[in-house]
Amino acid sequence: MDNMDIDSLVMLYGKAVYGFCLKLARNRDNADDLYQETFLKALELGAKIDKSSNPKAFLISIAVGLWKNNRRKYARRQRIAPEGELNEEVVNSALCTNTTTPEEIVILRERCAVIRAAADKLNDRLRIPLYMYYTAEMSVEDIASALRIPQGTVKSRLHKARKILKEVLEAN
Amino acid sequence: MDKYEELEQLLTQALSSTEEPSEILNQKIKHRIKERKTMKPVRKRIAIALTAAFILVMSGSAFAAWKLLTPKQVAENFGDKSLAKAFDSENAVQINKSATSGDYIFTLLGMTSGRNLSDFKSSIQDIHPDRTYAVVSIERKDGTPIPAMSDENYSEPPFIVSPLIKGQKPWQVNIFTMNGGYYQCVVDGVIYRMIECDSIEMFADRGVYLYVGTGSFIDNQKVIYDEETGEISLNANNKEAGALFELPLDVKKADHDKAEQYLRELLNPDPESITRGETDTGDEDALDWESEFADGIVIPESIREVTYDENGFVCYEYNGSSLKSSPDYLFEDGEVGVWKTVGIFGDGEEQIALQLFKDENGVVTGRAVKKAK
Repeated sequence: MDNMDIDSLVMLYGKAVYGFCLKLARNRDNADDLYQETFLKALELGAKIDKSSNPKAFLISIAVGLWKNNRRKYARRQRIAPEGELNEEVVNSALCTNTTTPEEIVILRERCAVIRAAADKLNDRLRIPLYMYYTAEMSVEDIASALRIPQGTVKSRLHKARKILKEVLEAN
Repeated sequence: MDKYEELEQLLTQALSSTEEPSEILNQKIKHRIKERKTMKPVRKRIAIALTAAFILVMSGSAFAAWKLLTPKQVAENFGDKSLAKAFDSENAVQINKSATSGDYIFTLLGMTSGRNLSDFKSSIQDIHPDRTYAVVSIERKDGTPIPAMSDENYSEPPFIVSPLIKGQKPWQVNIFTMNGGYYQCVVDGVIYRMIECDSIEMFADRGVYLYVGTGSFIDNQKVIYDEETGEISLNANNKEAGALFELPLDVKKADHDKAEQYLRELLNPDPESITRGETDTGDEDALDWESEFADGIVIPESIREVTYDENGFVCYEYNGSSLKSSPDYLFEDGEVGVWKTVGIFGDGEEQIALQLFKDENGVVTGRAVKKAK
């Protein structure tokens, strides 16, 4: 993989990979680090990513691998520099209609915040597939390939994560 | 919009990200890449591969390898003087065995094992200091020179070079799972690949192979693994080029206990870290599902034998929900006569479990089970 390939990868998938790294790493410093290391590792692997393969899934799987291998490093940094709040207040228009009131938007924001906080507390076994599915927008098949687990297990974990988040929402 | 759809939209909304990497961050990446490019060479760590591994066993006559570089020269070409010396030492094994398959001639030039043999350090050496290095060459059968990898005309397929251990499933124990990496260059129209992995000497009494072939991973299209004998052989129906060399290891260097420990750790990696006091074992998900559907209602029309795709993966589908998986992931060795839940679909009272059953003859049947109300 040469510089040109990396440039294209950063341009095409940088946002998706960065968003995923942010969720995984929980703070911006760790996310920046993980993001950089992901692309550098992709270069190191030297794999030729052709049009028929899935570059985004490939990059996300690298990020997951790096995260798992360097968890201690990131945890140590988290203790030294407490995480800052990530501003994620954008409300998707898909959930709002012309008749959505300001109060409903506030409620929606709060529900999103509850979900984010609850998702963050999940064990990595559930959290990682969850973020791969919703944040990185990967298919179940790609998640299964990236994590080297059966698709049934991916679906199982997503189901369990959804169930927990639903229960948290209902409790709130 | 039903409740499930509403939850889905909410999750998508909450968990998607609008953040973007800063321009400074992207520039940092480019700068670091540039820095690395001026260093020589970059060790290519092999990404952890997916699923099953194939090995191509090549049987062919030996080929004179006098015109090829020696392992020492290959290491020198990479700038690794220490490793070049190691390839020249008594401990190194010069092999020079070739085999032709498909469009290529694969030659195993030589190998060596030990600690601190290389000038290039990687972090894995802190955990696994004993390393094995092997050098292979790959040339076109018709003799046409292969261009340099940076050349725009370079169009060779990916190659996989991996040790395989007799008695161990090739898709579980291979260069990907043995902390492997490689260096590769093209000299005078010939590809030279030098692989590095955890030392294989401890397996000397079991039998070790080296697979070389086209493709990106080892799977059962390329090699056949005999569960009873542990023998690994080429799959005669494989469409890709490949070779399997038996490695001449010194049996005196075998270490059965060390090998057992190594395999235990490799095949049973540490569970994910426990966070916030939660416990989570590999069986926890399975136990939950089995008990939840113990009183479930079997859907009669869902019961049928599974099918297999061209990769040997188990395929089962019911009412739009499907699963596809390697049989190795689905059943433990000798696990027969039990229905196993492998996937859950739907929500609330409409949950349906997909279950598989393997009989003594190895026939796998699938069914769907509705959750009891």
